[in-house]
Amino acid sequence: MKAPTLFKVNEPNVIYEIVDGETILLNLNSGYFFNLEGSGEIVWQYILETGNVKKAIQIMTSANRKIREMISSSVTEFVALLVNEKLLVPSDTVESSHGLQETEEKLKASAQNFSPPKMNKYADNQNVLFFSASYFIEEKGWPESIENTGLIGV
Amino acid sequence: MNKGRSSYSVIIPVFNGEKYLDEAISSVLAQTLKPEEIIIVDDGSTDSTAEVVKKYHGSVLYSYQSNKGAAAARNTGLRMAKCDFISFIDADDIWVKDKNEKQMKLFNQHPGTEIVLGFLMPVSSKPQKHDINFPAKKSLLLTHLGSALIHKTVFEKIGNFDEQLALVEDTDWFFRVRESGINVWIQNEMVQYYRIHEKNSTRDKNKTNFYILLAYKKSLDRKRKSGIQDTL
Repeated sequence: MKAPTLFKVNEPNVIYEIVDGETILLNLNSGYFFNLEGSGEIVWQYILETGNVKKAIQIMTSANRKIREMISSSVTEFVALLVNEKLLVPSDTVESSHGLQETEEKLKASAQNFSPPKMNKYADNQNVLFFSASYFIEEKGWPESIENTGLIGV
Repeated sequence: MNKGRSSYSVIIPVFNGEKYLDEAISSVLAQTLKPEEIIIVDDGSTDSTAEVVKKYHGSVLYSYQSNKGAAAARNTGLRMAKCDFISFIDADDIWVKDKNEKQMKLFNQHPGTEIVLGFLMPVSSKPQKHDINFPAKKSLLLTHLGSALIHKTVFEKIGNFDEQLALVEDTDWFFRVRESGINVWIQNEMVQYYRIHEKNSTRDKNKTNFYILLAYKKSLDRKRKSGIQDTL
């Protein structure tokens, strides 16, 4: 079986944002928080726009053939980490056949001055999040699933 | 002026809270351990919140400010508060009558405690007025300010509420509580009715999620500043 090459963000379980120029992600199910470094930020952006990891690697390796093996393997490993953390899930469809021109240019530039994509994972605020009313209140009110959270008390 | 070791200030931040504020204030006045002062910070309400407060003239301190958000309203209350202990209650929630008496006892029984945090019980938007035996079933332990009694020194250690956060300022504050190793005593009793209604501020999930991420980013930046590297 061929490994998937198309991915999408595991919404609504995953939320993400660029804050002060830094890409941050939160898996609301696991409570793990992540930030991306190196070429990880632009690879993530390209996946958001197209869902196409294979094409991201093609663009990057074409831009820097000298280290194409390194680029290919590190981006593949990076995406595997994102999938392993359930931040990305395989997709059947391409979001778009092309990313924004600006994103593709940044992808090429990141390959030419390559810094391996990196994902950092943090767990230290996990419990505070799970105990936050902001986390529980849904648009329709109090979730029925709260019965299964283990937070039920006296 | 310091009002004393066992006195507490109640802070009620309110924005357009006419519908439920009366019940919140009543539950504060019904406390078996009376507060030294009740501070109501009206964060720019355009409804009849001020009229509701007038009914309690002489019993409460009322401060009006232009709309700046819950964090700013809480901070205004903190600046006005004169007691060693602080207890927040949101304008749509209700305390059980012995909440603060029991929490103060726990402070006295467990030296070193800096926050006592009890359980809350979610209730529907239309409970019977003044009837706290709502058809509630189970309570929850949540990091909700209204379920806590807080020693004022905690704010000196970790700061007040972050006014950049239009929502989840309480989550951000509890992140700092955890990061600073503040001693929290968990009280295994229900102390607050938490009302679920059509205007709960956190119902806008997109907005709430944005501010949750912002609070996480701030936590990450604090760690970087302190040199802590604790990635998994």
